[in-house]
Amino acid sequence: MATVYLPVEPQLGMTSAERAEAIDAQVWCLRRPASLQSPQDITKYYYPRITHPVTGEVAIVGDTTEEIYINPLVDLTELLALLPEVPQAEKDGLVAYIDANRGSSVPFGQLIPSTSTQLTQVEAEALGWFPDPIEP
Amino acid sequence: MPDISELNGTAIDNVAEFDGLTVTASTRLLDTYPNATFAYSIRRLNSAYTGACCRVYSTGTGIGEQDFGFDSNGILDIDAIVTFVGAGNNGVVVTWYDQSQSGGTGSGTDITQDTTNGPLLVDAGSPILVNGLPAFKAGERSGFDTSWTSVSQPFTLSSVTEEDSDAYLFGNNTQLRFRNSTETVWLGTDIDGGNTVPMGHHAFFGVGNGSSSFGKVSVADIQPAGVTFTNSSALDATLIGARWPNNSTGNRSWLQEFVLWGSDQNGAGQTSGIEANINEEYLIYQPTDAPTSGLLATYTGAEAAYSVRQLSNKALIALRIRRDSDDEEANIGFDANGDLDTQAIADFCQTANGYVTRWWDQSTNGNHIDQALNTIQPKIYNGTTVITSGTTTVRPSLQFETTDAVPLANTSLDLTFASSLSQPITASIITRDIVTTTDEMCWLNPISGSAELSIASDGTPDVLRFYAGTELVSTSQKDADMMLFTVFNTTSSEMFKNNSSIVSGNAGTNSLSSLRIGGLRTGPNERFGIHGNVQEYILWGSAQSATNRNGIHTDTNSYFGIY
Repeated sequence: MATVYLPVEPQLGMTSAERAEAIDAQVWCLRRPASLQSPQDITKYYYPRITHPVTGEVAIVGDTTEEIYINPLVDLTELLALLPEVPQAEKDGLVAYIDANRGSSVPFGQLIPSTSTQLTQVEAEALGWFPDPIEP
Repeated sequence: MPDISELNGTAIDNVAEFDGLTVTASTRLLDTYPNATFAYSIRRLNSAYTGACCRVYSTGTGIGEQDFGFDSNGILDIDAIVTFVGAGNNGVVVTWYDQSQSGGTGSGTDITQDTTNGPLLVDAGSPILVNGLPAFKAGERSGFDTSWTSVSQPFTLSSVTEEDSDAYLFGNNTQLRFRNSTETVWLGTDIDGGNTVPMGHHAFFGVGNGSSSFGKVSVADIQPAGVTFTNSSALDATLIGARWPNNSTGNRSWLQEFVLWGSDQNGAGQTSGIEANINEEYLIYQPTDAPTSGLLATYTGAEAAYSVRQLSNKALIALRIRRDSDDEEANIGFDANGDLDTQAIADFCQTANGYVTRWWDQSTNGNHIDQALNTIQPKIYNGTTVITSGTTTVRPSLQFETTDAVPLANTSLDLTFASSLSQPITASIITRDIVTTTDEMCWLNPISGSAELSIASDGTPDVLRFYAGTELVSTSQKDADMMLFTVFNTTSSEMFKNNSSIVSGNAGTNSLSSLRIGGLRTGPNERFGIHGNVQEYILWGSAQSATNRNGIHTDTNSYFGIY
């Protein structure tokens, strides 16, 4: 397990929390596309998210080594639209990578855009993502 | 001459039906509420009907089409259909057989569709399910054509469907329509009962009978009172399924049951009975009726009650679970003994792992506790068997895992109360098979923010404690299996372990705005979650008396065998 903290910047008129939630939902759609989801599905997201106690910024807490199943029916349109900062060439590469792996699994780390900040547990702690525990 | 698959389905079902040792009474809808005009369903509705359920066409080259009956549980034999359709192929429903009459296949008024437009039952080799049961996916494709033109009043229409968008389910005049735009249901008029009706798995009950027309639709968290309205239209029955208008793209619906009676079943006082029959099969919603038996009937006033046993005779659903093979979710109820229906879990998950996405509240408050995050849902099934706890008495358990090294890898279930719970509050928690005895744990916490109420333990020293603004600490250590019973009542607060008082005093006056079972509460005063299993978790909005406490312990310990 290799935990990675991915702070999400506000973009597209969305706050950090809103955009992180939307991206997280689209990560879940890699495995269970919207076309297969049921309205009463409780499961909506792949990974937990954490809020910075001072800045309010939200980070997705992923696992770079986790193998994510790519559903054959996956549609990347909405995920790509949430990543305007990612160069088009890199988006094209992501599409090709996903297309080549439909029906199989890929490590989450291979899906993280080069433009995304990636923090280790130690780095996240140093940047104040976890306040010191206070009893009780 | 019926084909062999039809005979198999019928024969298997009839064996169960005539096994006097195991079948106590028929619960088939039309046995109790007979004389339907037509009846289409993915379950057997009528003991006198011995025919097939539907006819399925496979898109695989040269496979053709075949009739299929019901399995031993009286449900459409989806496993046989998937085998017939073949890997990677689609299974298209071309005929839905009417079960309203006595006799075999073809004895009623069947409805049909062609192989191009018929609803799907198998999509690329995978069965289409709603809440774990077979469903015909219409909408984007089509519904069924019928030979009916119209049905004059009075009539009663009952249906079980799922929608995720604007869908027209019945005819094109007096349409049974779910409107995504306004979240209402329409049968000549809006019949939302003053509530919006979210998309989802719906049980619809509508009556056309002039000024006594009646309708209601229930979905997971909403069971509205019925609405009486005036409608004099005949029912347009020419189409069943989302065929109107023009097979609109993006409109999806899943069909499981349509039954029509040429009479006013509401006027005859049959509404609640028909609704109960349907919900007991499809497990669409948790009834919010006050219990008349069970622990919650004796010890009333629960704000939230979660358990692997039936605590209220009115509660039907225990868990919603996700199997990790294809991420389908299904509600799981109780067996005839009031125990968690472990066979249903095994049938649904088969060789996949099963995770709890919702622990249904058995109180009357609808305080269901959920986890929407795939990676931190508690586990209930390991691909082979249901997870259990206990040595002398073994019962199913939700397995929570946590690791201090990766705080957000802690499994949890979360609930935000509609309004904060003020003291007094009593919490009864059955927690077992704690995997370590030195780490800190937390059984009760808000989701985030400053500590409100908490029930926790420390690692070093290993003590139990609770808090509602002021901390009370016991020298008693946590046990591998224990019942924690905590009364939050400001200056008269007290905690019991296995019905022995371990600490009392002034715990403070805080209220509880949200509840996290397991997991890490993030933000200030963060705490880690549960390293082990939980089987029951009840919150009362009152301070239970000593007499009640003894009674609750006796009842609970007799079921779980904790101490």
